[in-house]
Amino acid sequence: MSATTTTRSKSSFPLSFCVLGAIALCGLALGIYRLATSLGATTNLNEGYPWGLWIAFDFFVVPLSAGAFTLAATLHIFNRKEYHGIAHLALLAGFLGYTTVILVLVLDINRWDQFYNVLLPPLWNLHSFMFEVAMSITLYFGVMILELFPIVFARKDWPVVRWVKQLVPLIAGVGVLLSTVHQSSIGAVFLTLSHRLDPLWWSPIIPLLFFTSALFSGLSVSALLAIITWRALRRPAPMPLLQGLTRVAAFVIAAFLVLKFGDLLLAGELGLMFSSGLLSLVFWVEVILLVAAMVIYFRAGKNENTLLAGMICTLAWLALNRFTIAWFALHAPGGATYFPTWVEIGIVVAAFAAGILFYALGMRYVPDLRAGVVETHHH
Amino acid sequence: MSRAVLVDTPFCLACNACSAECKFENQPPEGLFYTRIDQIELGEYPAVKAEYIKRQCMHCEHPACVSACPVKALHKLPDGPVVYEAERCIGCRYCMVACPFNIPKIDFNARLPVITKCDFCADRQAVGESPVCVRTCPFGALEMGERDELIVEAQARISQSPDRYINHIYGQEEAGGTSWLYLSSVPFTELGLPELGSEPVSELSEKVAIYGTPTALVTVGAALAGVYWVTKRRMEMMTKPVTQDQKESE
Repeated sequence: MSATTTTRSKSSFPLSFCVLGAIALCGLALGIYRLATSLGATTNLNEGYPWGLWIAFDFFVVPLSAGAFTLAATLHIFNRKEYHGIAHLALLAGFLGYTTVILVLVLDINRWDQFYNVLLPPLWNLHSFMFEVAMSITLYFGVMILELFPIVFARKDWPVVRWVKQLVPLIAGVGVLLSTVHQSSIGAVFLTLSHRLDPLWWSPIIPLLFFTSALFSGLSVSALLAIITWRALRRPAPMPLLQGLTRVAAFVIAAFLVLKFGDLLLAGELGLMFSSGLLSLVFWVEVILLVAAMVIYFRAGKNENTLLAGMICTLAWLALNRFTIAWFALHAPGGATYFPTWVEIGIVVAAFAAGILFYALGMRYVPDLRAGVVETHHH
Repeated sequence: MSRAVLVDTPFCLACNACSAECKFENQPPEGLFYTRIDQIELGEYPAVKAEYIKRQCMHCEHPACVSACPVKALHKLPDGPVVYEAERCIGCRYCMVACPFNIPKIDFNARLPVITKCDFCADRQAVGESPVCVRTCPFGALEMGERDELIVEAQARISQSPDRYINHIYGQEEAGGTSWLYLSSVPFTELGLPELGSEPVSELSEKVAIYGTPTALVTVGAALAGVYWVTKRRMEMMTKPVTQDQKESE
């Protein structure tokens, strides 16, 4: 009797899944509508703002998904096997993050019918950081599929699963290398935009700032994901592991702040922190969020909720920082203005809904992901 | 040597003949122009003065759009024109953001838009014809020639009529130099041209891409391999004595 109830409750879908699925399907319909019509019919992009919400979304979600490579390095390069449960969650979340990035990118580019041109070697422009980003994200997406393959099919008795599993440390290493490149490269895209990007954010070391912030964001988001997942599975979170991640994140935040303020100081632009109007305010909100996160990480101890507050500060900083660089602080010529349409916002909402839904489905139907959580708890 | 055009803005009377003829000959999408005349009002009423400036792609010597394009859809021909191949373009619009002169445009209402910008009439130049705008201008405000010779010519005009011109040839140094050069009676910023240094806009980005990326790859790759080897070795050292003890007990 009890056995039948568990099977039924497991096979029946919770209401939240149906809601998320409905939102994702609406997004799919909007996406098809966008491709069938034009950017003009669906977005508020214009001559002054050729880049809008969708590009900002991509610039935000790539470092949001950085947990996949930071935890892969922790697990496979630093050989910290106790992190394998969290690393697998971060890998699934990262894979879903990059999937939404690629899908939204296809909607955003206006010659999506020729997207494959990026893969044709005679057309590669090695001077262009947009090329580096496109290429390393495409390759890294393949790497993530290879990393996920032996986890998803762990219980199948296929020789190919064993082969891939043996190669995983090498594959993960290549993934870490590719991530280092493209997390920096999406910052380097702005190197040539000093005439557009506000000097409070433009810097010759912007690739390094993007990379270091991807590191601490990836670690924080993975820890946040672990807390949420462990709570959803009604188990006490593995606090020593989360403290390990956030402690490293705190040191990287400190390094980032030194780089950021050192760069402004050397450029003689510290005054801009007070003289840039609304952007000065945005700058200070960023600094306060990041300092708060760092202090919390250093001092929270074993208090799960305090640590959680620090992770939320980091997440808020990441969203604010990347949206500022890709949108608010990217000055348009000729006083153009931009605010996204409901279609643009709808696509972004649907992308997050789909990501959350598939993460939950993955946790539900991939036995080894669930087992990773349970085993971590026992150790 | 590369060809260039000298725009003598005091001679432009904003008749718009160049813009109209270009639109007719090149047929850019509705609402978009390869070239157009900007009319700028300077001063406070009643002392208002109108200035006119022809704007089009500057055909930079080191174009930011060419550097930005991931798929080489834009490139600069040896004799000057910066041209675009639509069949390569993926539509990332990085060129639109990267251009310091805000020149590349797309028709946002097209289903599969292409970059629309002046191509210096590269096809006509290839068969020895002049660009449409140069051919059309009735007031001689546009003069075409070799870039070096035009700079000498522009300097001569400034020294002949110091009252008419400010002592600055826009495009000689700006962003590493451009194929379109301007003379003016008022500062160029008042005409809407951006203030730019003599370093190409994309120079830093290209240096980082060519030297920074391989350096980062090798350094990080070596560091990862090193850490992997050390941690693996440490694990082996930790497990080794156990197996030896087991062997001895056997």
